[in-house]
Amino acid sequence: MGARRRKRQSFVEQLLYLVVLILVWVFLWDSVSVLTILSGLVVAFTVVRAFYLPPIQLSGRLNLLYGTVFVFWFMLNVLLSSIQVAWLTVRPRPVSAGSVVAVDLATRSDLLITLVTMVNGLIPGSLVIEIDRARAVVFVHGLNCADEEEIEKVRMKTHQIETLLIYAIGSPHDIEALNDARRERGQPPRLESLTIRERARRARQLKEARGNG
Amino acid sequence: MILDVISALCIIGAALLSLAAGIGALRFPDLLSRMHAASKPQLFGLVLVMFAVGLQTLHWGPISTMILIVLFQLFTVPVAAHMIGRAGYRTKHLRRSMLYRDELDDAVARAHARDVAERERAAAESASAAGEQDAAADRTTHHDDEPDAGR
Repeated sequence: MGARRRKRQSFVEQLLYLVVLILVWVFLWDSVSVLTILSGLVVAFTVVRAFYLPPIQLSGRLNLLYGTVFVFWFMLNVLLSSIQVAWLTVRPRPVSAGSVVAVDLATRSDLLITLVTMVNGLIPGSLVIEIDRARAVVFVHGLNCADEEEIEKVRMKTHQIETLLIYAIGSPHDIEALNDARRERGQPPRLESLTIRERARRARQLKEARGNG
Repeated sequence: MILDVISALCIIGAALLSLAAGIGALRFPDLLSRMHAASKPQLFGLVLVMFAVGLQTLHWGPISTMILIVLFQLFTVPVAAHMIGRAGYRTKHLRRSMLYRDELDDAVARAHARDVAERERAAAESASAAGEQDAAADRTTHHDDEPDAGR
């Protein structure tokens, strides 16, 4: 059963790639017609077959609320940090030294580490310059970051990106790892009903209730 | 009219951001700081220009192409910045004086120490293994007539 489910999931993922590639094709041709969609299907199929990529492990969940929060948080941050960095370039005082900060991530998923890195690179003022894949540590360079307070800010921002991304698209394992990390940092855990541990507890309860009844 | 004003504001903002990017690339003191100035404000400026052009044309055709442009920029710019920063760090094209704290350096030092220890352990192990092999070789020479002795 597990194998069949995995097969179905990988089929769905393949279909997702095809749909995205056809969308790009249609967008490039600026018209939605039978011809563009069919030729897009041919091109997409060729691309998926010819340029085979290692499969991405999607978590299979999407929380629209957290997704929206993430998108707006991201846009606001890009706007504010762009202005901040622009000010740093033109202010009379030169910019002070930066710092490379090691940030431990809770997730172990390739996709999420990549996304955290990319979002970090898109927000002005922070840039990931190295990733320790095995330990899920990203090394973030912070611009104009020459005291402990600024370093803490860089760390906090990276954690914030990770938190929003995990709550938006992370797997139950990621949520559990994140909630553990948040408890250690003294922050309240969220979305606990989705974690593996909680599911196991509920399944146990159900079993017990059945056994009694 | 209102659309024109909004587009004009967007384009002016984009121009200012691109200007800031240029000045930053010139004024910032080291590679890693310059990467910030060179990659990010310019990207946001491009998004603003695309938004302004979209407001002016209001046709699905150009807008869909511009969405693609922005999306591909969003995907590629951070990767490029990451790779350049990483290459710059690895080839030591950085000014230590412009780093207040460098936790990557600590991590590299730790990893190096771990590497050295591992290599020493492996060397010691292979030395002892070689010793055993010598012993085994001795045994095989002693019992040359037994066919399985060497395996």
